[in-house]
Amino acid sequence: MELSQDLTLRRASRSSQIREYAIQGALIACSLVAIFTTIGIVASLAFEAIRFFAKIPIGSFLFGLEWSPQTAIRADQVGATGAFGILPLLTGTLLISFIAMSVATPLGLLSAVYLAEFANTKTRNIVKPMLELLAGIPTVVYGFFAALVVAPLIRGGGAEVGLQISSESALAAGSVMGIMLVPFISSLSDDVINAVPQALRDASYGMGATHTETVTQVVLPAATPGIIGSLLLAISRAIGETMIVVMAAGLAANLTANPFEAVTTMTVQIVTLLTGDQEFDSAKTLAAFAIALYLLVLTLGLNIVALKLVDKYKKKYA
Amino acid sequence: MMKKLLLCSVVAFGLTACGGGDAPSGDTPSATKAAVTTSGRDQIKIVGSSTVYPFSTTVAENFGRSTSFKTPIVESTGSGGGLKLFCSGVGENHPDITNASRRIKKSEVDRCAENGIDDIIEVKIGYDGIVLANSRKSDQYNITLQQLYLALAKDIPNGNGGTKPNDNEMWSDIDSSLPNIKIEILGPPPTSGTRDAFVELAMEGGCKTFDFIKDMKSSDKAMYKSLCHTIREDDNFVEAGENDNLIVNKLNANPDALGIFGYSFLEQNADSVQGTIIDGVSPTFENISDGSYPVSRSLYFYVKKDNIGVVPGIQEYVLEFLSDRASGDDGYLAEKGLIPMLPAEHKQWEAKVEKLEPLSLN
Amino acid sequence: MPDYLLTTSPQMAKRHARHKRFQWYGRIAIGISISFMLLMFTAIFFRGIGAFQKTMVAVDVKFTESQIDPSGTRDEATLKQANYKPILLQGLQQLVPEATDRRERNQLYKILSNGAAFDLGERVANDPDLIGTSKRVWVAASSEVDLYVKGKIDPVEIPEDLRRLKDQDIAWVERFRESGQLKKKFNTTFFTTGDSREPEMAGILSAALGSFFSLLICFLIAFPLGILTAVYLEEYAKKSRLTDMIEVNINNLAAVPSIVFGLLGLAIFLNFFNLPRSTPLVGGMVLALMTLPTIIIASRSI
Repeated sequence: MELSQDLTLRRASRSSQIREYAIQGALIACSLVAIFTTIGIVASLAFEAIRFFAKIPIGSFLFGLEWSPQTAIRADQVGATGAFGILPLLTGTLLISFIAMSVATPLGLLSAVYLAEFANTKTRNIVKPMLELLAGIPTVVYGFFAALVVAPLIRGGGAEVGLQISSESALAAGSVMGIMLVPFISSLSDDVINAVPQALRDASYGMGATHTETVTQVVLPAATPGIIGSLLLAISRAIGETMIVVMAAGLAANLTANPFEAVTTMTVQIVTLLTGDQEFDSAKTLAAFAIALYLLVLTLGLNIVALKLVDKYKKKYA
Repeated sequence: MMKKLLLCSVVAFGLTACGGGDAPSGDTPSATKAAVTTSGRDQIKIVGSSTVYPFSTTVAENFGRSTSFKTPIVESTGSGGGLKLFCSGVGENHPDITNASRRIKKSEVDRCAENGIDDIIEVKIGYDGIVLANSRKSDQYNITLQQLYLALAKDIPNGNGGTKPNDNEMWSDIDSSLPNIKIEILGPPPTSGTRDAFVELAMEGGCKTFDFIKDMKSSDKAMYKSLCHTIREDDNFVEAGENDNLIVNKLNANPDALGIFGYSFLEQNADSVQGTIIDGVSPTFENISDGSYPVSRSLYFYVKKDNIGVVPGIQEYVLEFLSDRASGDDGYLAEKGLIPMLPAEHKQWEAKVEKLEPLSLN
Repeated sequence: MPDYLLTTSPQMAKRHARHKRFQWYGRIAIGISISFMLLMFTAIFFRGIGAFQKTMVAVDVKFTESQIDPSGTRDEATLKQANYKPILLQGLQQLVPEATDRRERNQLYKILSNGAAFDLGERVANDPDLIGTSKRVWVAASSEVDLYVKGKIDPVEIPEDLRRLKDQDIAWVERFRESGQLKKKFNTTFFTTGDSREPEMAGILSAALGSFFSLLICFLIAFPLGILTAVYLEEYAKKSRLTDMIEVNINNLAAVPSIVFGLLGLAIFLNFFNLPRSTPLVGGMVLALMTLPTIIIASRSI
């Protein structure tokens, strides 16, 4: 009896051990997909970008002030000169992101603070899902709304007061992008604020502070690194946003800080360069990869700083 | 779960924005003239001009509905882009037909031959005018070709027999009778046949009016071309992509801007945009048809003879395009803004195509 | 706050006022965000709702054999390619008998959509017994008539030479409307057809199917991969350089802009592997890669 039981156990354990290893192997393989994706992204971008920098010197790309990529496609054609300076695109991107953040930060932070600190459970349960709904709307719908409703409204309003506002103003694209970012900032800040230990709040009440004073002078300062982290993540999202700006922002590179003018962003230029004629050895198409690489480095840099800040903050209070 | 679904759809839309272009064509230098291996494909692939695109898609749709062949896939890549893809090689991955809003150039024919495409059938489908249009909310412009050149060229005459960079910011800088509005023109990129045709007809037409430039045509052709064909790169000229519908939308949003596109788009949107009178001629059907409007051109499409019979339906598609029902005087394409050929010329082309005569550039 | 504290001193009242103000700031912020969302929904709703109805015209047609299929073969191609324009015109002329010369007849025919003739062709091809009968068929009106019936074209405000629908066309349309032969019906073609050059014949079917297949492939790839990865990282992985690298990678990938994934797909899937372009396979694969980090991070926290 016991002998046969022993044998079955040992046989079972050996085959189940093989199964264990097999499953583990499969799972490891799945996880490695993440690494391969990163390698793939970096490799594909770097490879094409290197071919680009073989044609266009990297200095003129990083520091050039003119962006005029539509070169001729035939020998007997006359096209643009082919200036590939990224600075106008960078300023356009930053201008729109700045406008977006000026809209999103007050709305998002105030909503988060109110929901976290002041609202009763019933209000929270109704309002929070509604804000999450904002996060779920496809960005193409935002872009559509920005291009067809917001931009003409701003233009019309400007005409009433005598201002010459472009129909593709950075203001239109930026403000709608800001609304898109509100749930992003709101939910991240919400987590951060809730993570502040109750002990700090209790101490503040004990000293006789009102609820608002506790929030503004104790909780928020304590949560600041975390909030800055979430703002940086939102900025990184704004910089990488494609659809809203493709529909609502302009196509001409413009080195300006005026929100009423039309600017173009890095993402819009990537799209413009890649739709239509595509020849993978012309500087024009390769420029798209160079821009993407630049964009990737920028957003990853912001993300790393943001995550470090949030980490440091969590460690302080964990 | 909902959020991820929505997230996926967000990205799906984002990707469709990026992925709308053509696949890169591997330059296959040695293409044997063996049988075209399109054994897998039963759908005609058409690329090319954004001006011919509306006509091509209409014919394709009607063709698909009324025959048992599959509806052809038509893409708008620009005439130049289309001819490049067309001449990149034989086989399944390359288009069968390319639309062009200008005639094929010798360099393109040579490139085709290099890649194994020797027999190209040219089909002319009608005429088109290139218009400079603006929103009806503003006044109609009435300019000469010379003024148009002075508005758009990169370098303009400086009055002393030489040239200077174009410093005309407002229309009134060119001529005090023109409005005091900033010059803002939206136009097609170099891949577009409309751009090529505009540059050759309108820009060249305008710069030739300067005698010293006209003399250059025989003495220094390269300089002549560069002076007449180069368009300015500051923000007075904006390349608004291949999508002519987009240009019309932008004109509606910005009444001070003007746009360059084909007559068919003007006609289809006559309630919101109006054409500019050039050299005293307004861009109407009659004026383009009889040639009095200075910026008019022929529209073509090119077929790979070797693909006929291998990909099903090509000949039938071409015949449908050339039928009276489609491109004739009263046809459904004329309704869409195509300026049809006169019946005599139309019959000539029908006969040519039936014989499958390959192209020979004179 | 307890009332007695409020009344103790002016400073307390001020602080309490500030407290109340701050709460209002919060409410206003939430209010702005939500009202923007409602504004967006209503704007889109009112612009789009018109598309769900389509103007259709009832035409009494005679499916005469000599015009459709003179040789009597009942061959599908012949039936589809027959010229249905005169048949429809005859039906229209019953209500507008004064349209006799060529120009007027063409003008009258333009009330119908270009697709109406093809519609009839398909109906006859599907049911050849129709030949020889007379029926009242509902066909689509042209997009200009459709816009007019929906009130988007005001014949008074816009002068005639700027309109595509002339005054005479409008008079004819009203005649059809009065006799009950022109109605707005629910637009089923919106859901059953794909793209078209004619606005009244267009539908979202091809786009919807494209989205569906791309998403299907996306989920089929991303869900198993994502959940298995999360399971591995949570349950099995030991703290090692490899797992650290994987985690860092996943966090970074979650923050990469979507356009970069698009370029990845372009360069590697289309260019390097030469996969067919514009297929749901490639679209789904790139989508899967993009959503994978989010799925992993979300599953891990569960």
